[in-house]
Amino acid sequence: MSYVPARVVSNESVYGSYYVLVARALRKLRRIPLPPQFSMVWVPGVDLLPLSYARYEDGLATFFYKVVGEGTKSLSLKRPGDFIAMSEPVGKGFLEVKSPVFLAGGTGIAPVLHYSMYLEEFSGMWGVKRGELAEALIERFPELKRLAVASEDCTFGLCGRLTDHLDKLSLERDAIVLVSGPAEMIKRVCGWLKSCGRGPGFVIAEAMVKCGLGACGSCVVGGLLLCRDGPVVGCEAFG
Amino acid sequence: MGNALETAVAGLALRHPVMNASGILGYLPEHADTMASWRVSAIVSKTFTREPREGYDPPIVVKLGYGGLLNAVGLSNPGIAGLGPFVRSAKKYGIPVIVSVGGGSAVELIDVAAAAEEAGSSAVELNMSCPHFEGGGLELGRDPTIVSSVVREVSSVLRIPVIVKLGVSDKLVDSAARALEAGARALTLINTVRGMAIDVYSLRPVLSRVYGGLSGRPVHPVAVWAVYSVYRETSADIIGVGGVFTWRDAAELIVAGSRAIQVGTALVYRGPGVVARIVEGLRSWLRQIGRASLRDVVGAAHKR
Repeated sequence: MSYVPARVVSNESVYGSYYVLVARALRKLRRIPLPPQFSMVWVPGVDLLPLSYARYEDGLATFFYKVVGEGTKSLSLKRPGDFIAMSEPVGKGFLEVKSPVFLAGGTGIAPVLHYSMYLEEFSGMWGVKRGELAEALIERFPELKRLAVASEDCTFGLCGRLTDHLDKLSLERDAIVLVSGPAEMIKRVCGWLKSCGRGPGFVIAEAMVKCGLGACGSCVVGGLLLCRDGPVVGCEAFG
Repeated sequence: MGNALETAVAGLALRHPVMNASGILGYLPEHADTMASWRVSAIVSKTFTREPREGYDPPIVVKLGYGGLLNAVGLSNPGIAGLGPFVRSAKKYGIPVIVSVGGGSAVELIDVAAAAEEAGSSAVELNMSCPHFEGGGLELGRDPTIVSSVVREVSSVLRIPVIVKLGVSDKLVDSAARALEAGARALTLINTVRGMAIDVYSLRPVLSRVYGGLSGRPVHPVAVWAVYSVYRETSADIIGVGGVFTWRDAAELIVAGSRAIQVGTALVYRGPGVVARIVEGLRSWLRQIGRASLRDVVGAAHKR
């Protein structure tokens, strides 16, 4: 993986352990990241994190992430002016979609934000544990207003999990559905799409990515290498 | 008209001289399908060790931009238990399957090599030169006495050919000669060369393990020298590896003394079509220089 050094512009919590990082690449990436490509973001001396783009414009990259371990913790401590690095975009863009329906859970919303830069029309639902997260992120990115929200603490939008409200979606028979988020949610949504004969369903998959070059073989999902063939894979890869 | 590119190394018949270098994919059954699609003449596994190894934390690979790759993957592999599924998957393509074998001691190498033989592999390649495997890599391969004893022990219990992979060291020629005396049927030369990259903004080493192994274009002349030097002294069966991106690079290693070559980093830089392009390039090169067969030019640089 080749890396481009980047300087942190801002890196703030939008709600609790959820952060929005904006970083400026010191030189432009050779390939403009297309949704839902991701980059390997290097926290110097600590970790390398696969993060989906929420935005990329003129060398300015925006990522939305949650602090879950040592690597993301260290990333959250980076202040404006600090240096990180990011890889050239990994995987393939997936833009041959017209008016897709996004079903996103938690930080799975990041690629939806990136898609919103490219799509005229889209709809769907975002599931969050806490309504306050949805409220805060929508304030920052008003384009998310186009999605319904389901909050598990019932303080914003629909009450409960996203998967409790799938029957409220008015899906055309051939609507393209893009699912992103926790594995359990993905399985349920894909199962539901199959059971009601809707779709095609596609998953913006996540996996342990170590080299990002198709060389180490650690990111196999359904027989494909996520970093080379993904991150979009068919629902069938999730049984 | 026969196949001008047919060759053989360590008794393995090869349709053409280009196989993959150990290290890119090669430990899960589904990897074998991708590797076969590269059109290699033999499939070489990633290094298997007795126990599973997780490998190091990322960053484990850095692309250096001038055709070089620096890696410290840490020999991640599923251990002996994963050998059978990988070898069975690779064998269905009807080409030789070579299992790369690693370990910190002769006993461990024997265990893994024996498991490879039992799984049906065509040969083993003893990895005695990984620059970032503490205690089981370069340390083994650069001591000719250790090379000799380890190769003798492993060869004595295997029926399939033993190929020994050595890296560059002051004693390369000596180690190579001792490996052959001890029963190695062929040598793979060279492994990656120890190297390091530092990010000058954050002021930190890039690889999580600080240093790693350099492969790709920057090591190519080193590989040519190594193959030339060892062939001159031993006339051994050599598989040349190091920075082969084009047919010309491959041809150089062949003329220096290689009967086969391996391609690794070029798969990352040039994509999976690189093997077929090298093979076709070698075919036209033989025609251009008026040679009927690859065998006529192996080691040709030594003839006066």
